[in-house]
Amino acid sequence: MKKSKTNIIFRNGGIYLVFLILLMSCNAKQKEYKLPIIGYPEITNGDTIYPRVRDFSFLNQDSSIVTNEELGDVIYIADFFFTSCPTICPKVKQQMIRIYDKYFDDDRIKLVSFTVDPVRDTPSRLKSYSEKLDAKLPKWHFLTGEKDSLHSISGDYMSIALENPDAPGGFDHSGRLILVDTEGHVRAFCNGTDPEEVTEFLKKIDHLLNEG
Amino acid sequence: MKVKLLIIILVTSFISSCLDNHNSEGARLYLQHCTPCHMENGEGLKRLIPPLTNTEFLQENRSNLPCWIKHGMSGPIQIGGVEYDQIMPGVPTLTDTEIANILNFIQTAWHEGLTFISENEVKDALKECE
Ligand code: HEC
Repeated sequence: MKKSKTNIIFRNGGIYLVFLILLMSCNAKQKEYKLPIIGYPEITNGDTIYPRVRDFSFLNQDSSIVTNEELGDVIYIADFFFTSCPTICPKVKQQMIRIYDKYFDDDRIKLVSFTVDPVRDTPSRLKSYSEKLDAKLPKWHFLTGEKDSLHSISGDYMSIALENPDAPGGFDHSGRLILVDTEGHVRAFCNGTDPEEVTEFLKKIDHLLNEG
Repeated sequence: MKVKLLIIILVTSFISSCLDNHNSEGARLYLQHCTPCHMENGEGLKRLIPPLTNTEFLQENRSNLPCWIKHGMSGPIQIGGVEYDQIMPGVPTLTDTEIANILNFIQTAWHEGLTFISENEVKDALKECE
């Protein structure tokens, strides 16, 4: 009895598998598929308005002002970090470098690293940090500015940036990589300490680039 | 079916216990405290974080290693012709045995011909900074 029962499960499993494969191939044919916009939309007068990253104006490692408008014509990958971070930052930066290297010659994409510790992370300190990573402008901005602005904007990027004397290095922050489109919508994010998640994330970047 | 499952369980637990016994504490501690910066392969990151794979550098600084790990280090250093200058925080909660295990893990993983570091050697070395 038992044996035939497992057999049935196996046979059914086989059928499910066939269905699943069929379903997946169906999906693959839908070229229309777009990356979702992340966050809750607001409906005003019948229009659906998706959240955008708020306007900002920060200084980069060359002490030049960088605004969201300036970044507007490219998609970008954002992350939050600080140069004296005793924990996950180098790991996340290693993955940012992966993205930097992959899209080095593609002008449609940039990288933006926001410090959560602007008091210590002055433009010149960001400059020396970026040089040690071989990260160059105009491809990769390291931004600093007003602490409150930096901390509150992190929420728009589905990230955390908080001062916390008990946290290692004095700040809590998430190691997420965030994909932002030319309209300022967050379209995907991943855990930047996990190379496998980043591999999936790279596919999403390619997808967004091909959405046109 | 059941027998097959049993065999699979036995074989996997056998293999994992074999992999486990060799300096597993050192490997676990390295993973926990050091990989965020020096990475799984010990190669560090560009010119920001130095590699732990340079045998000559470790050999020359053998007696400094316990202090660096426990109390951190800063200031410029040269490894393989590259200068590094960034702050490494220490892990003051590590015991002498744990430090010895981490160092021996690093040696087994990326270095040949370095002699093992004992708990006593760690204890002596730490006198320099405690
Ligand atoms: C927050 C990042 C960070 C963590 C975590 C970290 N290190 Fe380091 N480590 C550094 C930096 C940066 C230097 C270079 C310091 C300098 O420039 O003086 C360094 C230097 C070293 C050196 C001497 C230089 C070399 O590469 O041989 C050793 C040995 C070392 N670390 C071992 C460890 C061990 C073992 C651990 C885990 C217990 C650890 N580090 C954790 C960042 C880190």
